[in-house]
Amino acid sequence: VTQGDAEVLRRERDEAIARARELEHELGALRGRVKRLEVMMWRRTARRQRLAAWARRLRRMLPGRS
Amino acid sequence: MAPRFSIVTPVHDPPLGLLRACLASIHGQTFRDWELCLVDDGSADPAVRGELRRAAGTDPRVQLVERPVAGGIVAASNAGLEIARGDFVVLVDHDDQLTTDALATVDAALRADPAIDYVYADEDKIADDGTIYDVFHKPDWSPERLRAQNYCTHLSVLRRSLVERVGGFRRGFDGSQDHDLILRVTEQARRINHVPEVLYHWCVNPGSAAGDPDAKPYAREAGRRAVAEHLARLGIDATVEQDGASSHYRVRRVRPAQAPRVSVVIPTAGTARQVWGVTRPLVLGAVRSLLEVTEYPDVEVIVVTDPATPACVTSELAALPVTVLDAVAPFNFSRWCNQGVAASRGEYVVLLNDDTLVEQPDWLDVMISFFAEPDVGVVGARLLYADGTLQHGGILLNEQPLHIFHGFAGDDRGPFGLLKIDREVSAVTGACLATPRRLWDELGGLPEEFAVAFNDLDYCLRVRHSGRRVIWTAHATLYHFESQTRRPDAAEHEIALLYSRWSDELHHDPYGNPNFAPRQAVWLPAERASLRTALPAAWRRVVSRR
Repeated sequence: VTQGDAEVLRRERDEAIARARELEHELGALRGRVKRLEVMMWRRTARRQRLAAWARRLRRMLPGRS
Repeated sequence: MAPRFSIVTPVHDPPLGLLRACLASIHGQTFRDWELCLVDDGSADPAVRGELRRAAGTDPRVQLVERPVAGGIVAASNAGLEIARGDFVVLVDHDDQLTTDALATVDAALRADPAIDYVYADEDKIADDGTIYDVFHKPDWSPERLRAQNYCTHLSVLRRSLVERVGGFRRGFDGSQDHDLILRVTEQARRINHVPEVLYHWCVNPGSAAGDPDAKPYAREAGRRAVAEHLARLGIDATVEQDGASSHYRVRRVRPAQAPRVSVVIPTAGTARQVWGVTRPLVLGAVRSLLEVTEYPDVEVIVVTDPATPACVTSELAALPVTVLDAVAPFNFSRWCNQGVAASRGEYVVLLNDDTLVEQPDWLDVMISFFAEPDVGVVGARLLYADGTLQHGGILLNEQPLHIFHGFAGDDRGPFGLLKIDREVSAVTGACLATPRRLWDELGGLPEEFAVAFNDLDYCLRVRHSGRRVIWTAHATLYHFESQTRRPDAAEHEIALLYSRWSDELHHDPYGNPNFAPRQAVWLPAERASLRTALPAAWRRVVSRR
């Protein structure tokens, strides 16, 4: 392996590392987005459950209901 | 006799329906000892003027000042302050609404502690159709956060004598006049109180700052100046920048001419791991990046090596300008850190894990600059996994210590910009933790009874008990190549010890909010029972014994 070849190899290796890093970051961005969307869904569910509970309490308070 | 509360409401051509809703929410208060100081700031709409006169004519508690020419919100608000007689001033915008128990709740808080000079509460937003959203459950008093954003804003209740002493609202701060006033009042307040209940509905309508921070760009500039002047009053040498498109600010403290020496202590076992396709001893990457990238002028690096560290790693470390110490066996992270710090000579200490990587040249400047304020005891950094997701954004104590928004995308702002601003937290991770050496010595360093876990948490809580603040900064970012799937490795006796020492703190984090679901780190509302996740087994055993 000549000196020139070693430099080519090093450059190729560094490019591959940079690409691996880029791809991992893309994957990370997607993972993060999934987490965020899941939390948003939980929040929506929580809000719906809160409203349903409030409506149930209201119905119980109406005359003729026990 | 002066009323308890003076509600100050400057009015300038609001939608009539919203003004009526606002007035109705005030008249509907369960607490009756209030006055309403309305200031019509040259409204052009005769219906608005008529509504205000009707309100003043039908209730003796309502006073109206009519300014024939609009002079802006500062002048109008000051006109309201001039006629206010109450012990406390309540700031309400002309299109917003109070909850019916708002004043009663604030009054109860004030009665509990007569030294309180300023109270703020949680808030939400209300749309045109009455839909409530964006509930903002706030932390308790967090001065660093107030510099980054006016998180207190609605509902704010201020002792009138203090408002008068600081000179009321200031001209030239229109749009951020409340931020400026809150900064000046809290600089002098004896006691500040947070009511963790939504007492204010902030109305979103076209042109309001609630719906669009860009609606009033002049307000953001006024807010920036308010923070800059606040820092100048406190003698903090810093500049303030607007943070992109949001109404957040970044404080950049100026490094002193003679930068104090910083000692970075890195305990290591020379472990190798694959990162971005390459398997190599992580400590070498951490030390090399630290030495090559960091632009801070006076740094010493102390590496404390485990007896099992591979010889190739120790020989490579020996070739670098660092001090290498042999760790005292057996493994005890706290003891190793204490050993490294004891051998250091810096005015400040940074504990750094060996699986970190530095890429931001000014990371150390950012962290150390917070110590310009003597009541800052610890500063922690923003840490990212190899895939760019968030590893550390501060620790929340929510029945157990949790890394907030762990695993979210690195560019996620978090609710209300939480992950993009500097702020107080209960604790930060010891993976990257800066603290003054004098404080370290005063507190006895890391507790060696916590050999593996919670030593950083215990240190941070002791720092807070000493009256100092723990800050997490969003503006010093490092990679932390910790395994994303590693199971919690705390020993049961460490969990028991943590609980026995810090049970109260684990159940009340001032920088969380009691409305959050327990054991969640993502600001979920507490109502959803099915989200009450089980404690990990070791924690369950400890808690069940108590």
